Amino acid sequence: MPNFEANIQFMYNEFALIDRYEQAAKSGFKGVELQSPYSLEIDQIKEKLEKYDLQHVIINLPVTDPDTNLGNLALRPDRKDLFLERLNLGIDYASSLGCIGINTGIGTKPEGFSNEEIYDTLIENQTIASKKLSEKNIKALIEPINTVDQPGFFINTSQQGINLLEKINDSNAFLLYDVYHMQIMEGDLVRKISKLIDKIGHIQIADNPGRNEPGTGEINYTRIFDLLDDIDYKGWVGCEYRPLKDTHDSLSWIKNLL
Amino acid sequence: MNKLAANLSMLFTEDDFLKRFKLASYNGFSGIEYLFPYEFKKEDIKNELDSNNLKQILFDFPAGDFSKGDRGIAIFPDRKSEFREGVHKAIEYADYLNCQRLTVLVGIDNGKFSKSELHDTLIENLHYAAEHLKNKNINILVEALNTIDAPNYFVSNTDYCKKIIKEIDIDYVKIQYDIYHMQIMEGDILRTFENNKDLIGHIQIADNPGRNEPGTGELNYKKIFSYLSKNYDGWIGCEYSPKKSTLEGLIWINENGALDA
Repeated sequence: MPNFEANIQFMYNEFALIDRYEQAAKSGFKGVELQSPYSLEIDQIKEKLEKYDLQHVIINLPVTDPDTNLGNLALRPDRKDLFLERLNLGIDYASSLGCIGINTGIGTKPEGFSNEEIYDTLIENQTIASKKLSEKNIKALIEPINTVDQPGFFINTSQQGINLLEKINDSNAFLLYDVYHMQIMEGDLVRKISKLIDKIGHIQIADNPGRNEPGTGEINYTRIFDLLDDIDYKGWVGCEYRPLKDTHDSLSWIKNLL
Repeated sequence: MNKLAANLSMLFTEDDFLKRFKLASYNGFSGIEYLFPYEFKKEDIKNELDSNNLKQILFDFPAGDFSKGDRGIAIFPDRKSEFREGVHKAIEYADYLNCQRLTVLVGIDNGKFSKSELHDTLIENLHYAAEHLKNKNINILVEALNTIDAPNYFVSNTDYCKKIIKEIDIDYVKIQYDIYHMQIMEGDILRTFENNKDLIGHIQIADNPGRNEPGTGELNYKKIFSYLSKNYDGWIGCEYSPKKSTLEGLIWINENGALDA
């Protein structure tokens, strides 16, 4: 079975953010991920990781544009300096916490720029991020996101993700394949994962529709997990779902898998 | 409760075609579908339907020569007369077998014509079929196929299928939603069904990858059947390739609660 870890942005919302590390460990998880750790102090998190013997698998770059409140700094031709500043902050957290990767954050298409300008900016920012992260042995992760939940998301299929990776052309950049997003956008999960496995640096899961725990929607996750074993996927699988009810109650699907 | 039709082009193929009706009935199916009846006498088929108490749910309009790679002829400007002859042949069989659904396979884009020529021909042919099926209580269904199994098939996603149906705008011309094909092409199965359910006249199923029994692939058919039993009152055609024998594989019906209320 794959190594599952808990996304504590989505899970354990019954608890304060800092207390979710303990709860994840209580459930039996050996790892966690968190999009935005930036409201917490690095030392505060490190203490929890050590106390509960948890690997902090990934975080996201803080790419919220302060002017628009949209998470698309990586796409803004006019905010490259701010992207770099945020990249440094992300690297500081990720390297201190021992993360294996950073979701470098893409975002929805900003207004007032051509697609070409935006794409060139994205390639430039991601290339810098990938190279800087490789110095710290942290993977740069590109995540395509579905446009039903986030209309206008700039990279929204695995093929677009692969095309972007080819432009970045750096061995430290990988695809973050989120099974939930990809089921909404393109389906054909088993075939795509098998084909892309060498490019995949991290996997996230939730069922569809609803983004709740596996078993609540149209995806047969038993088959997906068997596949990950068959193709010898060594990475982590982040449980990035909204528990239908209580988080601890939502874990029956995973009880025998941790 | 869901209504399951056995697809006799893919199930019970251990036996000759006319013997498959009895097997379908014996194994609990009350309806059957298949690709084509035309190489058999309609009287012989009718006899099998009646003696096994089966409903004829669906078959396809003549779709060219499968052995030569045809997967429908409805898009080809140079084969209109062939399509039209096929419409009359299909009506003759459908009337006699009391079949209320006829599926159009549109064809493989062979590059000889422009996309708009292919599209316009398809629309014209669908209008022709609809005209001749008026007041017959028979639905015409347009099916999108996946382009991994059928490269260059002209209608390969729900959006385009829907566009065609809207353009025709006749209430008995509908979408055939094949969950296997659409999982390969677009995913998002339940939402897509929900968004288009008024236009969907028939569903077919198989798991992916492999096109085998529900439960063998990446789809959670338990959930899909539970949803359909509450939101769909049409037939579900079981159009899969049995992994071992048809009979051994039929346990999927119970395992996935396909007939639960």
